[in-house]
Amino acid sequence: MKAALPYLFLALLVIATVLAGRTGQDFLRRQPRPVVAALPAIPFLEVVSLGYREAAADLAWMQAVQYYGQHRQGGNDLSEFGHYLQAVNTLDPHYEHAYVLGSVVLATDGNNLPAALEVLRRGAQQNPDSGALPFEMGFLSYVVGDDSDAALRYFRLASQDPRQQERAQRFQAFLSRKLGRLETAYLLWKDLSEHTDNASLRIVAQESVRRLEAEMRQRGQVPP
Amino acid sequence: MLERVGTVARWTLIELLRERVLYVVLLFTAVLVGSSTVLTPLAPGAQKKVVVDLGLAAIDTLGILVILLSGTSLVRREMDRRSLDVLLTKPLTRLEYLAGKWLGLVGTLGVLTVAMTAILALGLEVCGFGWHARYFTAILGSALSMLVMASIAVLFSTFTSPTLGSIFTLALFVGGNLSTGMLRAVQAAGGNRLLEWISLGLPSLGLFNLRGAAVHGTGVPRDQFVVAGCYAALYVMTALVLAAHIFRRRDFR
Repeated sequence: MKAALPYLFLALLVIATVLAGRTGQDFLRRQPRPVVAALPAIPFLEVVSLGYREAAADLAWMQAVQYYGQHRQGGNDLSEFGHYLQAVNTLDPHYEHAYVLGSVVLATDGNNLPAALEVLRRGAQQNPDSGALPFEMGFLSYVVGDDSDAALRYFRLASQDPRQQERAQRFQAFLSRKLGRLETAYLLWKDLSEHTDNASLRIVAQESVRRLEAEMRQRGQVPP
Repeated sequence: MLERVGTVARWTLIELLRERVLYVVLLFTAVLVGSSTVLTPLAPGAQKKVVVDLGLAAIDTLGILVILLSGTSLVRREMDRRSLDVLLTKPLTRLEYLAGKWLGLVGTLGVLTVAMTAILALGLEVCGFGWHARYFTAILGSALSMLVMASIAVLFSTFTSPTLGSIFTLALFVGGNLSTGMLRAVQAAGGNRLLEWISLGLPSLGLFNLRGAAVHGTGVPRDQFVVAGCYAALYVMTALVLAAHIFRRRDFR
């Protein structure tokens, strides 16, 4: 009997664990849907990260993504998203992906383009060599803000980064044409058609050059 | 002298490895597998960064864990076993003995760090993220930090119990990581001489934190390496000399 006692207790413990789990699930079902716990104050996060700021930024970013996911399912109004984003940006100022994706969420789901541009501006200050952030500013200014002039300025800035040059130049050429600056658009597409390694982009660029040449002649202009 | 230090170091290394310290590598593997399978789906587009960040942080944290669990009981264990009495009758100075203990602990940490680095590199290659040579920079920074923390653990092991030694070492690790931020906050708030002095007394572990630069590829200035290396060497020497001084004054009867 004595020898069986530990097994008896083990069996009881297993049964109790199963019951506790079920009770917990019932309890959770009766509760209103929980909102992802808000992050603590940013200076506090900086302190408790104990030098592991990048890993802490990753965890804060995951929390932000969950918060956004909950918003998509109708669980919150996204009002805390800016705070999450600022926490991530403060812990790891070089986390470009968070600036880009966070600004898209703020501009589209949050309907707050100025806040999105502010996030990207903050990122650009911390990462002056990055073209991805001005590119995103241009993209959001055009797509969400419908501000082609501002977008063109940002794309011009983005094209100074060799990693973004082709992409930014393509958008720059597209917008220049849209704004009636045919000569600029022509030169940009021509440059792309001559220097890109991307075969399909070269075809698009050559086609655009031909179309612009025709358009300029039609207006009585001489292609440069 | 070097031969005597080497002998103590070799036996310390063997002793620590017999304690199954290498199980830490299994823990590291679990952290890495966990972060790459459970956490990465939660960070779309930044999966590689998550695995690298957590991998590099885990190498550092687990190194500190080994120092806390094994480093602070190095001397006490020999006292309890009475093997220290025998050792001190040999032509071995206390400084040589402590330097050997520290070197043995550092050797153990070296073995662990190499194993964890190899697993991280393998994990990144298997996941298709790829290993970058610049990650070595961060690991080198962590290794320097471990050298300093190991010397602090040896210092505490000469005059306190392992439990208290672990608490003090942990406190200095936490304080050392906070010192830069604390100093900045104190100066921003108008300055407080006492807190400034306290923060200057803590090891400046922020100097060895090169993880951000390694992950983002922003590059580490060569000066920082030189300063960090010299600072670590000075800190280790000071801690060991101080430990030997305290140890010399102890009565083992």
